[in-house]
Amino acid sequence: MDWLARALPTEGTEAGRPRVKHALRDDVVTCRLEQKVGQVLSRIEESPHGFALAVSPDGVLLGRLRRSRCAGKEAAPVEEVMEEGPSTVRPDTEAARLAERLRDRDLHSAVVTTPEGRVMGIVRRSDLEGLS
Amino acid sequence: MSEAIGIGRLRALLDDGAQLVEVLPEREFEEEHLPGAINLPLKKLNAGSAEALDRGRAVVVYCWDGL
Repeated sequence: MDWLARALPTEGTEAGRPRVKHALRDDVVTCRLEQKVGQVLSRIEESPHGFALAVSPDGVLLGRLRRSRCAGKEAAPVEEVMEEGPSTVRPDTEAARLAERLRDRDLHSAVVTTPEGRVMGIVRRSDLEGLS
Repeated sequence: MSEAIGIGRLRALLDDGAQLVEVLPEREFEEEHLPGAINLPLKKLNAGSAEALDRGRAVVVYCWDGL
């Protein structure tokens, strides 16, 4: 699955079916574990997604910092406030299938990473539904 | 001699002209395959199957799990 999971091109009659990679948004805020929540909060508030993704220096996903958890914790490091190890999906996942899973769980977005865990972006359920 | 390889080695081999072979059934190959791959379904492999391949170039064989 490594080739597909990296959103590399394929050929064939089904190669063009809508996948997560076709709705990928790369406008998610990222931050480091050691940054203070207050340093990141203004970017989260300006972002359409309501959270930031904590990543390692080489871009591997480590956690998610939600705006709802930041109140009163501006002086704390991201590492202490974030949720560790959020669920992720690969870019080759079929769009319709992921949209259904998000609906079932009443979720509005999903984090997309490579098989090694490097952040590629996020997808919104509404965008996935628009592809189908 | 065969060996399992990762994505980096695959790309290097392809850059060097390796032949890419998918061994899934024809229908699955038609639905989706790697660019430039040829289809030699596993259940139909025989002594004559290799005639389609160039013995002077590396051959990379893949299936669904290796995709």
